[in-house]
Amino acid sequence: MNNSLERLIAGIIATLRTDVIPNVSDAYARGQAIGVIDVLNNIAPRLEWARAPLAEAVAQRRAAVQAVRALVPQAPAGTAGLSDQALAAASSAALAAERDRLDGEISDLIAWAQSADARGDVAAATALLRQHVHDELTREMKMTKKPLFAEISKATAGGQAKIQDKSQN
Amino acid sequence: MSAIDTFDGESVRSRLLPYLHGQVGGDVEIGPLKRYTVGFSWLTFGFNAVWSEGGIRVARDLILRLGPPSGIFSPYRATPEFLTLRSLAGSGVPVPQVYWCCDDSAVLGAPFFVCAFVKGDAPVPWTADGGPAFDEAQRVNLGNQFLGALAALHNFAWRDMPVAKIDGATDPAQTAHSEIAFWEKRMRKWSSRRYPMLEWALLWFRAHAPTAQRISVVHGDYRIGNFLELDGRITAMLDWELVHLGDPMEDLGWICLQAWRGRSPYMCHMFTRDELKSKYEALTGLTVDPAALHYWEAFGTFKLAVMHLGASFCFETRDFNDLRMAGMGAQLPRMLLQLESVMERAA
Repeated sequence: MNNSLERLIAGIIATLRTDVIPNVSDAYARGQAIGVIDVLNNIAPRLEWARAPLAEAVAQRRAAVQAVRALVPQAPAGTAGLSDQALAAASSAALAAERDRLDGEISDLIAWAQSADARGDVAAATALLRQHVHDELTREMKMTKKPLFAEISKATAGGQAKIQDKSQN
Repeated sequence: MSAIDTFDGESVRSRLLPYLHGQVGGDVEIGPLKRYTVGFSWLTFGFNAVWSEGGIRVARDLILRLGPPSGIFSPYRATPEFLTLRSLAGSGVPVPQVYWCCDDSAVLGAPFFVCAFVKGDAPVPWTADGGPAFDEAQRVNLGNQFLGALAALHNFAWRDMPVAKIDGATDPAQTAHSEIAFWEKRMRKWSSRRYPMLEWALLWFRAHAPTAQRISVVHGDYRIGNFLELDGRITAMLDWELVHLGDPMEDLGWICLQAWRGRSPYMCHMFTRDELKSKYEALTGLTVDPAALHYWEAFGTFKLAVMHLGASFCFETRDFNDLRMAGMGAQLPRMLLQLESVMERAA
């Protein structure tokens, strides 16, 4: 996910309040929608992103960086990351920050490998980086559900309203 | 004057009325503004207006397009789209007639333009089962019109027209570099996180940038979902907010994106890649270099991935509560895998 958990929950609540509940005519359904807001308000302070996938993301990136640096020790060093001890105790937010730092380091390694300064077994390092990027995206995809764009479009543009709603955008 | 809520029809209407009064030079009546909730960027309102021209009563169904401060591409300018539509009036590109345009946010709270309401339905690329959006006859009929309009756009003699003032690159060797710079700037703005796949793509695009055969007006978002169809006829091409001068192959590559066809074998659900190439070449006299087409398809996939970052950014930081934007952000891994795949084909 690309948005913070806090903002997603706030956005869901705002959408229910502003765009959904005023347009729900059935009393029971309206009560249930308000119930969703009530539950979200109470679970929000107790939630954080799942730690295990973030820890795995960090571990995979660290392994890739170490393997690449073994092939091309001349590559410029990255910024210091979390120690093993700090990682073990890190919150989800700290793990996400470490994942992002490592993505930056991997991006720098990719750029260096394609630059005139590249030395060592650059071809093997490039292949390893390419495989790592592919594997990580594939791993992320396993947690990514098929988008509901078709259903959303149909719901937005149903019946006669479809002709008008889609008329200028 | 009080602050204006650009999402609220009544609020916008109260400011629109005196503006239109000034534009038509007399009394004008406008009906309630109806907001159309499609799209992720510009706000769209429909309304009816009545005024007098030379003593003759004029009544029109109109569309007001506003670029809100909270939108993905904010800060917006209405002038480029307005000048483009004005220039293309009467050409082979079906566009709505434009009336008025203003980039001064003090007037309605955001840049805006007013154009004619055009009837039609906008077929979308997303089907329930991922299959075809059209039957065979529709596919051929709409495909011919869609490509005919694109060829008319790319053949359009723009140099002595108002559209010559819009942004873009006029050096054939710089068209790709100009687009790379444009979208990299937005990527950096919208995401402090660096995605290795996107960084890789940027390096590749710079190293393989093609030279344009011709400088044309490029729509920038020419695809299924951005045209209106009524009784088998394309009545208008819409969403010109990314219009610029550049390499016409850019529009062709965009048409080929996986995102616009799902599992259909047809680009934008309308033609095979070979049909696209042969028909376009016959209509424009240009040669479609398969390498350039793959390049621009890859670049288009990159651009769409960056738009996903923009949707996330907009949802996160601008109180834009449209959950479709957050949903787009969640699909970034899918976009990046598509980018990897199309880059491998292009290499």
